[in-house]
Amino acid sequence: MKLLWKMRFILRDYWKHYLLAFVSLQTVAILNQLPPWLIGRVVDEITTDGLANQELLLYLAGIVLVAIAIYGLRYVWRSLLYGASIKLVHKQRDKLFAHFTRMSPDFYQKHTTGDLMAHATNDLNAVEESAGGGIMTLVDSFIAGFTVLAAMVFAVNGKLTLMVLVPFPILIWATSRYGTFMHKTFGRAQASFSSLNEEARETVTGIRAVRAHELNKRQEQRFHELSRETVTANQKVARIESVFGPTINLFFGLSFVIALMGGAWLIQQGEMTIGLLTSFTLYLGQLLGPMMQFGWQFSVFQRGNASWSRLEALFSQKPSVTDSDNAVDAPENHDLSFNIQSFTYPKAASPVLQNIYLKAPAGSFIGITGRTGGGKSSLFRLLQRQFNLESGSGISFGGTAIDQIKLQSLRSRLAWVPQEPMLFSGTIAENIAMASPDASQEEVEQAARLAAIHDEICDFKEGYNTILGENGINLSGGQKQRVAFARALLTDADILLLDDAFSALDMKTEAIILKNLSSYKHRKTVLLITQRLPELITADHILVIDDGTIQEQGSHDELMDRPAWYARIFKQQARTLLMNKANDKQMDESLPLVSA
Amino acid sequence: MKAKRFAGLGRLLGYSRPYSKGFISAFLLLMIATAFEMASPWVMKIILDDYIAAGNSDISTLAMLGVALTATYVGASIFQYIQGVMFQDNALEVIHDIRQKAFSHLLKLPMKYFDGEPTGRLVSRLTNDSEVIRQMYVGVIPAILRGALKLVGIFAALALLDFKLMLLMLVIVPVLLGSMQLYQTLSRPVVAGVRARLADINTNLNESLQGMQIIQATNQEGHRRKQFSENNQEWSRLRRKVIGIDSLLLMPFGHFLQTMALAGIVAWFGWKAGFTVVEVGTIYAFINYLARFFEPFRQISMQLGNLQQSLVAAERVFELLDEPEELRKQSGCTAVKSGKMEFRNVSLSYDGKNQALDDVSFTVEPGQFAAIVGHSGSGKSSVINLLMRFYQHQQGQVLIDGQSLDEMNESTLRSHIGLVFQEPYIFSGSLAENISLNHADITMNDIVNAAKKVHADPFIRKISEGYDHQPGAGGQALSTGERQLLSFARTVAQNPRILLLDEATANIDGETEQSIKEALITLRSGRTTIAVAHRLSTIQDADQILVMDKGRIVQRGTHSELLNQHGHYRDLYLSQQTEDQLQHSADATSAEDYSSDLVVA
Repeated sequence: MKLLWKMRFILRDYWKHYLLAFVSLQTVAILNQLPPWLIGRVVDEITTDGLANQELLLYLAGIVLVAIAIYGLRYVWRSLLYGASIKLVHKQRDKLFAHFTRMSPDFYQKHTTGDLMAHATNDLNAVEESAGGGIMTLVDSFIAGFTVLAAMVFAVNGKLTLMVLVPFPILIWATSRYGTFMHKTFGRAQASFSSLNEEARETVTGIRAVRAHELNKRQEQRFHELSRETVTANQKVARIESVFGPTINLFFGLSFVIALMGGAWLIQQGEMTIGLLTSFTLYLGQLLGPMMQFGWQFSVFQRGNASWSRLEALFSQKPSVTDSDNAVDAPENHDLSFNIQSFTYPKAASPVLQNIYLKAPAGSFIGITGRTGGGKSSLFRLLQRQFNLESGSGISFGGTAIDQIKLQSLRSRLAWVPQEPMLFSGTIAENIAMASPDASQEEVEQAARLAAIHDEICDFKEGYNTILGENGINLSGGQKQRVAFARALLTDADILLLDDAFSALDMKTEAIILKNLSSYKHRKTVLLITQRLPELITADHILVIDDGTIQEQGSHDELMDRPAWYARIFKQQARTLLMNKANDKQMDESLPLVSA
Repeated sequence: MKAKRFAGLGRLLGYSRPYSKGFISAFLLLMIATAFEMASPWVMKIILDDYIAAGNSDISTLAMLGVALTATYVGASIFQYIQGVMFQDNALEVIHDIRQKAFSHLLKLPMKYFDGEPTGRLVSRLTNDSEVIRQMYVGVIPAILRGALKLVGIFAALALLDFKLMLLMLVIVPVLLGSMQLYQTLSRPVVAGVRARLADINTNLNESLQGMQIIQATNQEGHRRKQFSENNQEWSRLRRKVIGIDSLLLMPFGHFLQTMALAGIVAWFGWKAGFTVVEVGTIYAFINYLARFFEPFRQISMQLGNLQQSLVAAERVFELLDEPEELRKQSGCTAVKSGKMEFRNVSLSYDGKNQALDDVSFTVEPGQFAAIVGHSGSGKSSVINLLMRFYQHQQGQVLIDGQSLDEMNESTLRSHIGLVFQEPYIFSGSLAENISLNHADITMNDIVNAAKKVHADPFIRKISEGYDHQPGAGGQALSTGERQLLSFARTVAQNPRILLLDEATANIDGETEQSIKEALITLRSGRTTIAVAHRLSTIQDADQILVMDKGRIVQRGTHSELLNQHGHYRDLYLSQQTEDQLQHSADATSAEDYSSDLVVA
């Protein structure tokens, strides 16, 4: 009963449901004893030749009434109990989702999407199962079992009851043995099935290699062997599975044999009537269900319990980034100042950023470039407070340290376009308006125009109402980037954080977008991370970051005067650009700039 | 539709023919088991009527009756067990056969088929679907057979006990069937709704988890929560509705009906008792048989869902089995000798609309090294696809040693061509097996030698089990570079005349990259080679370079010839120079090397 105690959380919220359900269960159990008893009476009356029609009608009315009452009560307790378990899962699922939305990125580094999905589906299912069917059968088998026993002892005969119970310990023992055996062999069958699955996957994904190396025979052979193993494992399962029903039937049948033999003897002794014996065997029939369910539901309960512990562990994790106690709204002024001595990701060995000092006054255009993996994106993450800064480091927004600003207020002032644009299922319009759900269609279209995607959207059959598949699978990489960019433009955020946001665009589109972007000059602060240096010519200040530190900085002209990475790469890129332009004119079918 | 489903059922059952002996024996045993089962209430009736009610007190008679009753249980249990095991064993063999057949068939399908089907779906044809079909054999069919036999047995016994009452009891059947029908109609739309909501919930959850950063960055947590909650609320409402329908029509209704039938029996015998002698045993047996009557219905209705699913799964597997096989040339003569390759005006289209290769002609002389460059989609890989006979071209001729590819035995052809994949494929099995590919004539010595030649030996020796190490599916534990080297070793061990090299695009750490470069030279020596190249730096010593664009060869020549022409090759070369520097150099020291490269241009 330790398990039941652990599961008290279920009873906590819905104890009224459960109480009412249990009362109904008990009533049903008692009512269930009436028909066999009435039948026993009828039998006795018939054998003693004294059944009057009126009496018969009375008995019949009794049975019918009981039947109706039981039907109604069963409906009630099922709705109550299962209803409560559904409500419980409903509530927990909402709570879990809300919990997920509060967790910081470090949580998502620790747990994969697949793991979290499993918690939200399998674990919740297991909890539902034990909170509904699990509790029900457990309690029911208890209540029903004891009620039947009581009826057998008190309404019929205690001696006979004791006798028929003799095979029951064996029955219980067999059921529990069966459970563990089944679990083991079934686990083995599952394992062999999943290696079969793996083998099939390997062959299908490697079909070219299989053909190229003429491995058909080998793969067939391996698949054959694994399939054979699966068959053998499943045959073992079948052996155990097939033994269960017959064993139960046999021992339960023995109880009936004892009942009849013992009954015959007791009748001869005059301790019992034949009608009572009839009632007794009918009661005995009612005892089987509860016996078996009890053993069965135990494992359901154990599973539910394990799942609940996992969920509790998940719930107990706190988001690492939260509002500080006296957090304020972000100030109107949005001058930015970065002062990062060092930043290391949780669980990482070495710092990803070191000694980064940068001032970005409101309305300025800051370019950030350097090799991939140099730590540029981390700057944006820190500004958004996806991670906490280390002591000694600080970022200020309008003169206020960002960890003193309410998260929501801070983030509403920033519009971030990450490297990998993330789209959600829904229409294109909904995706653009994601961060500003109240935007009008005109505003959405205006943002799309500025992001140079309006015309392409209009070319879709459904226009702005085109439904995107999961993560926008029906859009090209460049289109996704522009939708994400339009999303950022539509918000009235003061600061645009563009992280390599145009990498999949062709030069022409890129040029249009840059032109549109320049119209925001002095109104919005733009921080642009890019690998394409010509995008940065008009920047107020450029940082070259590599290995987590600033390697060069200054305006474009200043950097060009220095014989270092920036100047060299810029010249090469400009040259390729020029040549491509020349080629464009020369030939009709020219290759696009190698960019992706 | 119905007829078609029925046809599927017939075909599915057809697979059990080789095991018909087993199935028939199982069925006969089932009949015996059912007979035993049906005998128990009858023996009880005899005990009640002829012994107890008759006032008989002969102990030996009682003992005999007790033994008889026990025997019915023992007999039923034993035959039930043997029957169950036999049925399952045979059913599993049938599934094994179907699976086997599907797998072998899949291996014979043209490559085109694989292009059109997602991996997950194909794998599930081979495994999951056959598991679902298993439900048909171990769940549906036994339930129906057992149920039908039981019902026949029960009604036969009832008829023997009291024919008229048996007829009356038949009334339950339409009521029961009607309730099942009603249940189906009521629950189907609601159950579908629950499923749809759950799918919505999971989609929302999945994509929210993946996009949590952007959701948080745009302050949309509340909005997403609301959306989620709405779906969840609706799920909860529908789910409770399902429970309501279940409670109304399933188990509680069955019990209700059973009790009402009980009342009917009591009424019948009570009424009869008024004018004739009623045997208690008959009443008892009637009640007992009746109690067994509901079980088969419950089981069959539970299996109805499985029946549907199995038929759908079977249809999917049959679809796969009905795909026409690729014609493979099994005969045909001669091995590849010199290794000369030639394309004569070859055109290929995968879909019948777009030309993947458009009138392509070139010759690679024995021992020569040819390289193909071009953008993705330019047709480079199609050349390899044709040489491997993965696809069939529509026009022109592909020749090896002067004989048309169509005339050659496919497996000899493939055994003489070594293809090195862009993403080398590692099979489950040991590293040694991955090199020898289970060819009996490749000894352990050959394996180690091959690995040494391509610098794969050092990293293999570093692994604790060395050549016996099992890298696991897809070789995920190995680095990209290590997988490359392993596939090189594989090629060296197979020692093909012709080498087709699909160069890897991935960036590999410096040390391994050097090994790979050297290994590539070893690999090429003495073989006719066609390399599909992404990095131009690896093909500068090629005998000829073919530049492809949109399925055609637009330029050909050696590296230096091509650099001195205006055109794709030079553009490609220059743009790669820039890319390389963006990727690899932030340090000023190496800058000079790159600029000197540019001077060449």
